[in-house]
Amino acid sequence: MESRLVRNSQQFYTSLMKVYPKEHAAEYGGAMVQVFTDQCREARQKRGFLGLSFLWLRTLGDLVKTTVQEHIQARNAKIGLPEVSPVPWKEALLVLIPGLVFLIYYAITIIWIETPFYYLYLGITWLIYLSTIPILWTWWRTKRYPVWGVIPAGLILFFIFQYLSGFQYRLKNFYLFHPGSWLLIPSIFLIVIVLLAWKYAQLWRVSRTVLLWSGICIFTSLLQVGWMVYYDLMRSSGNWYSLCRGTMLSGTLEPWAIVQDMMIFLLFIIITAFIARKYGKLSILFLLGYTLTKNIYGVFQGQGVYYSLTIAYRLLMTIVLPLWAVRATSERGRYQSIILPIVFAITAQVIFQSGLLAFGWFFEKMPMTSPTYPSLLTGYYIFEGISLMVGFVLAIHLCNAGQPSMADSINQAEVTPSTVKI
Amino acid sequence: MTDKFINTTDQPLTPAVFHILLALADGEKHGYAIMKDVEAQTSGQIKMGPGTLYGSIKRMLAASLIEEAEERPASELDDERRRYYRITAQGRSVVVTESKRLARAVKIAQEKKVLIIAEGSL
Repeated sequence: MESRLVRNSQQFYTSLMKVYPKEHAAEYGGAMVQVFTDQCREARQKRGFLGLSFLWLRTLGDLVKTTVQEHIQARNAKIGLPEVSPVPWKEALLVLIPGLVFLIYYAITIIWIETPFYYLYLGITWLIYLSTIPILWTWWRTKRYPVWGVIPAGLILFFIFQYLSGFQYRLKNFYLFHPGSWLLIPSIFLIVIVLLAWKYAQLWRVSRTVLLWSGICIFTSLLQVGWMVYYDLMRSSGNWYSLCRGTMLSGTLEPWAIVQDMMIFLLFIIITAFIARKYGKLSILFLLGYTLTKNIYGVFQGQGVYYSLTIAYRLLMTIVLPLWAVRATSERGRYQSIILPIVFAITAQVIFQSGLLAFGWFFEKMPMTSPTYPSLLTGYYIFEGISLMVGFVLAIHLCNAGQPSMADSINQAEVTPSTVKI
Repeated sequence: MTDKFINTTDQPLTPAVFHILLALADGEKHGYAIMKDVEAQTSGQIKMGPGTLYGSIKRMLAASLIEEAEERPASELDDERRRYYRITAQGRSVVVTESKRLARAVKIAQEKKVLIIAEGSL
């Protein structure tokens, strides 16, 4: 039979659990009370009332110290500042590889713009697919998905989506679902996005911030599409039928390919949120697997001085961003590592594109309303860059917001062991 | 939410974390058993309270150094509120690395005659 002193001590200690953050108390409160009860029994057995008194003195000191610690950590976690250890340099350098590969690719395309680079792109694609082998091997050996495999995983998924997107053109050739066959793949992507978004909303609380950034992301993506519709109509002299058929006009981007791209981007964002829930916030690099293929590029009808400048600002996305993100020592640092390079890259792009505009207007006297004038494509690339930045911000908020509700955390504390499984 | 990509093998461990890993090195234990084992390892010099113990356990779970064991003694033999933990492969790697680091430090201290260990004195 339990001594009354031990019972009272247990009850009083249980009531003291309220001083801890709610999530911590829900997760570990029961176990802490159990441990304290065991200590009380032992202290009472060995030294009686005196032993119990000394135990209380030690426990109260422990309580004060750890309560402060846990509240600070809980506060930091809420504002995105949990303890973060930087990835060791060996892994960090491996994270750079996809970015370096694409940087070299872009450098070659800029310098050798007249040279067909299709086979080079194909070679890069196969290189990315082959990277699956060391990633899977490392995963199997260490039982942990390597951080340097996150960006290649995103790249592989992008190439798979691209292949699926090309499928609709094969359908069009067979005149199935003609003339709207271009709608098929974007529609499928849209359905998947809606289903994932619904699942996300069911599992986790969707904050107003997430809703706001989702709206901004969709708006900026639609701006891209709208801009290219305008560009295409100007090129085709207002030929809406041709536009609706999804016919490719020579030398232009199909606006409907942009719709597809927009769907892929939104799908990537929400997949990143789900991955981050399981594997942690470095999963944001998965999104980089998409943006590396897009990067932030502009019109190449500039002069030689722009070639080196366009490579320079891409360094921000391909090398600075991933290296900074994995070596960050705080969540705030990680947030900055993603936002700042993108902001600088966008700013650089706006400046360069403005320079091209000025060059064309002052020196080549090209009218701004001409559809061949680079201003229209310039506008598209600016919108694309802004859309990329907004997409990253949305992804960060989705990853941060992916925390279970209080009821879920209590249920998990009682029922589900926190065994690490991949 | 854990960041399961992070490797923590290059950082020195705090005494609490190191001793908890040592306690779990020879098998699964629940919280009180870990606490008693640490106290025994350190001859009573480290006496963790429940707050320190589970704060450390929380961070070690987040860093995947330990994991909660799925199996536990039957409820009639043990209190259901006991949560059992075991060391992971990564945790074992970390404690081995730290042990080697400490062993090197002890060796240097002995070479410099800072630490003189008489036979049977420890």
